[in-house]
Amino acid sequence: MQKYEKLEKIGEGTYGTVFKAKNRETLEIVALKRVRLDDDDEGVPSSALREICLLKELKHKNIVRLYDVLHSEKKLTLVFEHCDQDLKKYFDSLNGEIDLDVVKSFMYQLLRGLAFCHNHNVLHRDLKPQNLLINKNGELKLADFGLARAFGIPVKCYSAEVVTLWYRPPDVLFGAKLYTTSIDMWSAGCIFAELANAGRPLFPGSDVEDQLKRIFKLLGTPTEETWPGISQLPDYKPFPIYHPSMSFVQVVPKLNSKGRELLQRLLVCNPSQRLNADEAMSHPYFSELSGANSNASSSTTNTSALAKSGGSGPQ
Amino acid sequence: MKKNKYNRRLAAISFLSNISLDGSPRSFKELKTQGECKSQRISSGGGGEQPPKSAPPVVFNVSNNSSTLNSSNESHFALLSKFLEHDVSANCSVTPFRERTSTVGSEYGQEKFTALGYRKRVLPQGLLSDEKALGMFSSSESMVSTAGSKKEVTLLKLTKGQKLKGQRLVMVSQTKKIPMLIFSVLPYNKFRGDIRTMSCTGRRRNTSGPRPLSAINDTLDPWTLLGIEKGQDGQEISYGQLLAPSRIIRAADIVDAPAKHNPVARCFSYDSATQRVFASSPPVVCCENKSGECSAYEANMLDDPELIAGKHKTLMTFSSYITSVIHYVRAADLKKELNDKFRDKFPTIQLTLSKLRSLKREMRKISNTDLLTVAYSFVYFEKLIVRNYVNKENRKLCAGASLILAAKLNDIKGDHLKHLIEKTEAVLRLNRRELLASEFAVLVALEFGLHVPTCQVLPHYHRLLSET
Repeated sequence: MQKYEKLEKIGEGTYGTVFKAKNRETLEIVALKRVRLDDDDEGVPSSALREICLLKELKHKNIVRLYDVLHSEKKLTLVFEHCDQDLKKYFDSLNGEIDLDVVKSFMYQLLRGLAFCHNHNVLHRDLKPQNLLINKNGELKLADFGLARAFGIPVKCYSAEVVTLWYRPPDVLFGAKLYTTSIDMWSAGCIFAELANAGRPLFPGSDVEDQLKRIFKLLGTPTEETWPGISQLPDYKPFPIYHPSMSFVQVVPKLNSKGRELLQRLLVCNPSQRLNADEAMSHPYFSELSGANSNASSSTTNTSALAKSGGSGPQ
Repeated sequence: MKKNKYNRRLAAISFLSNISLDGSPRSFKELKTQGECKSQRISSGGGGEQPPKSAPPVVFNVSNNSSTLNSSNESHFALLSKFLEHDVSANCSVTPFRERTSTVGSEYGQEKFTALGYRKRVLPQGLLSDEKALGMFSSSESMVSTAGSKKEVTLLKLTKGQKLKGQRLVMVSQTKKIPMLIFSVLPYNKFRGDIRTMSCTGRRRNTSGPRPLSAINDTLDPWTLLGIEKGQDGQEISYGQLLAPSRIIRAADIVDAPAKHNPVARCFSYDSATQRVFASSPPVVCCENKSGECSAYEANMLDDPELIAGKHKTLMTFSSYITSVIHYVRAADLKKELNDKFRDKFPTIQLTLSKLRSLKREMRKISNTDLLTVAYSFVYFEKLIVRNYVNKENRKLCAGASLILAAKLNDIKGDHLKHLIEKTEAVLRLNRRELLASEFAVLVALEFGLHVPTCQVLPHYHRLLSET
């Protein structure tokens, strides 16, 4: 590998190893994802295929950029835009305090990236803090499209084994094989609450049943009345009827009422009633974002917001 | 005079009965053109049950006694049931003809000649035309003959909406029950002709096409076959230039796009009745909205669903309905005509329409449960064809790789994927290493453009559904 100089190992992705590297010509820092191609295997891993083919179509400032694909007999290297850290690491650096403007800015950028995906017929299907990258300018980018897929032709053959448990919506937990953009909106809601609580996950379930129980305890157990067709889902099983004992004020104490309202409209068990990304972006919660932020040059606002958050922003 | 006439009739019956119209007739029904009778069954085989006993004369309306011999209507029925017995008797001269008739089905065009042949050969020595036969038929007892298999004759009264499928039917005159017409009703299958062609002429011609497995060796490189440059000896090749988005959604479209969960929801319909008109309905609109890439490829541009009957079709427009008559044409002629038309339309494509269709059928056979994957693979494969990557040597590799790429993007994984790869190897007779090596080559040939607009996939998907 001559074009790039490997600097350090960043981690292990869903497939292969991720390195931080420097372009020898431009001195640009990039992230390299290396995929081994074994002869007797099943060819190019589907996660690499998804990343290549979907990111090719998704050029957006809130979506990580795929710069290059290098191929040789034995390996495949994907060259990505490098970001300083992910949201998970950012949370770890916060010590439980987060600026509410940062919450709003990150949430807005998450929704904007998501809206772009959805408008291009792509479901991310693995939204979680680890897959949201943050750079020095306070820009948030959706990354890791290894589980993403196209949607548009509704067929009951989508995989139900998607999304990390804590961020998986109840319909998919019940084994739904047909879902739409609502799958990502649930994850976005979970991440919103986590942002507002400076990194404390909302539903840290230990298994599918515990996950559903945690969800229903907060939101109330859905019934055929609130969610027609629920009992027809492949893995449906009845749960005790929980009545929400905790208000959203207790769940996200720092979030203002508009923020709580947005959160409640994202965390709806019935997928058809969940807000979509475009609707969420036009929610009054974001109306206080400066016009500049909601449009093109969000980076400056974000930087100042991050600066305000007590120097705990990304280095 | 009358006797002679009857002899001839018997001979004709025996001749007719030996024409295999639908392979091997299972049941036999007599269609009574008119009459008040109920459905009747005459068992003619097995335990010596005599037809007359099971057939009340009332039903058969024995009104005509003018016939010679003792040819009551019962004997007609016995006669009819006789048709069904393949080995009428051990010394029957009809047997050799039966062997020949079995091939007639696949050579419709030669029916006339074979028919003449029959006639010549049946008449001089035919069992039914000589005196003995008459004698035999004079007694219904002898009618219940040596037949092995049990056959049935059913007398039908034609009622409205009755389905007569896969049966051989004989029309008889009302009074004398003399057979006038024998025919079979076969389910219409638009691809029957093609399949037949494939299994007969197609296969034979193919011998020079696909390489025998033994000839597959490492010297054949899928990259070279596709005409794409490849890195030498571990050298890395950069494909960054292929990462430009294949369709640019104009900013205006996004702003204008109404907020909705599923932006293409309006482009399809579950209504099967609308499936036929998809090519010209909403998806096209959605294509135009998006961008120019769509215009380069459209789902039905190569494999035009209208290209099935060629010129052998008469369209009749009436005031309240339109009907078309598809004339009989030899499969080989039709195939040639359609392939010629296709070649005129796409002179640079190194693939015939019939080959394209047969490959698509094989792709479908490999993944017949997941039609969405098949639909996507058709888009990829046809795009390779349109871009002139596909030739005689690599067409199966391209088809197989398209299918595997489509499967991987459609959530086929683990054992299902393994099974699919194995099935692809088997059905398309490919070598696994070559198949997997061609996967990335095909990906490059498609410029990583596997995320295709819904409007390019949907027509394929609906066609697959409607052909199920």
